[in-house]
Amino acid sequence: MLPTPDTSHIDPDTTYEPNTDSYLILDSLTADAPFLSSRFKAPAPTPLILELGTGSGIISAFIASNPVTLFGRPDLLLLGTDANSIACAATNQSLKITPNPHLQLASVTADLATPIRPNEVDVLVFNPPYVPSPDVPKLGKHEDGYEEQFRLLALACDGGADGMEVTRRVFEGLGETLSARGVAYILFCASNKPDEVMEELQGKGWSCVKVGDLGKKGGIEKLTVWRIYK
Amino acid sequence: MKILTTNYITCAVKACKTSSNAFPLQFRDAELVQEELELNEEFIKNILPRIEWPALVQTAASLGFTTLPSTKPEGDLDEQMIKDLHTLLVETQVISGKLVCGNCQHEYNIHQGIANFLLPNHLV
Repeated sequence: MLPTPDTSHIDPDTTYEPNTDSYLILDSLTADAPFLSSRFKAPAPTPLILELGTGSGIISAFIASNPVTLFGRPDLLLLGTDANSIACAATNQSLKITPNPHLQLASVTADLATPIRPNEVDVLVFNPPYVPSPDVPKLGKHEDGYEEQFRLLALACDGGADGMEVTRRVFEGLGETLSARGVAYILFCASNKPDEVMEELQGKGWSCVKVGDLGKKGGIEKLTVWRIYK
Repeated sequence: MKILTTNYITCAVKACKTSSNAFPLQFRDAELVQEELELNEEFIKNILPRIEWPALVQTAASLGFTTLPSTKPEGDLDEQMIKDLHTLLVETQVISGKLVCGNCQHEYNIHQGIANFLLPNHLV
């Protein structure tokens, strides 16, 4: 098993702390390394990795720490976005203490992939806010300190109807975000109804492969990670 | 944020995404820091094909790096070129300033090395 990156510097009051879902993505990427290594085999150009909603930065730091194991090559370029600028700073710190800080381009504050140039991203990784909730928090800062903390943590968790409102926005732009060789890794919980979602995506020409799952409750997998690509 | 970031980002305003004026975003009042990192020749050589060269030359020049050739170097790179690219692409961080869209003129602030692309409500 590959070591888990150090994120002990994060402030759990303002940044989502690595949890079971984060670790499942690390395991899923590790399990899918043969696919990644063959798809991005050198001399193909350096893959550009975009993580959405980096939070602590644990996933990006994991990728930066293990390029050869995961991609079969030492060169990657990593970009991250998060709507929470405190999380962006935490991500920068997590990347800085990996063995390969040269692989990171930037961590920027943004709404998902809105500032990313079309068709540049080779690998998109997203641990979304997937918990069903009455609504999705606004992106604007709250004046009150306590309310602001509450908003920042809700941004990392609350996914609106079926917990899918944010992930659906990523799907809408997926064709525009990914490059011709692009692949997305996205986590789902059972409430997101992943089987229905995948059927819908397949109807739009995407291939969907389950690359990780965790915990069964009454026969239903609680968390799954899917590779979505063309 | 590293200078090369501008190769992969553009204005967050939807209408600007297809405009050639929005790329690359232009740095304004940029404050740079150099962070010493070990020179990795392979890395520099490997990422070259992934770089949109004219955009990088333009961005670099605006920050005072004027030694880049106007066309992308190919084949064996000489030692000085590797060193220059390492300084520019790996060691230089922009820690404050703005990124400005050449199409809509919207300014994105950079604070402590983090650019903020969240848009005010009227631009979403």
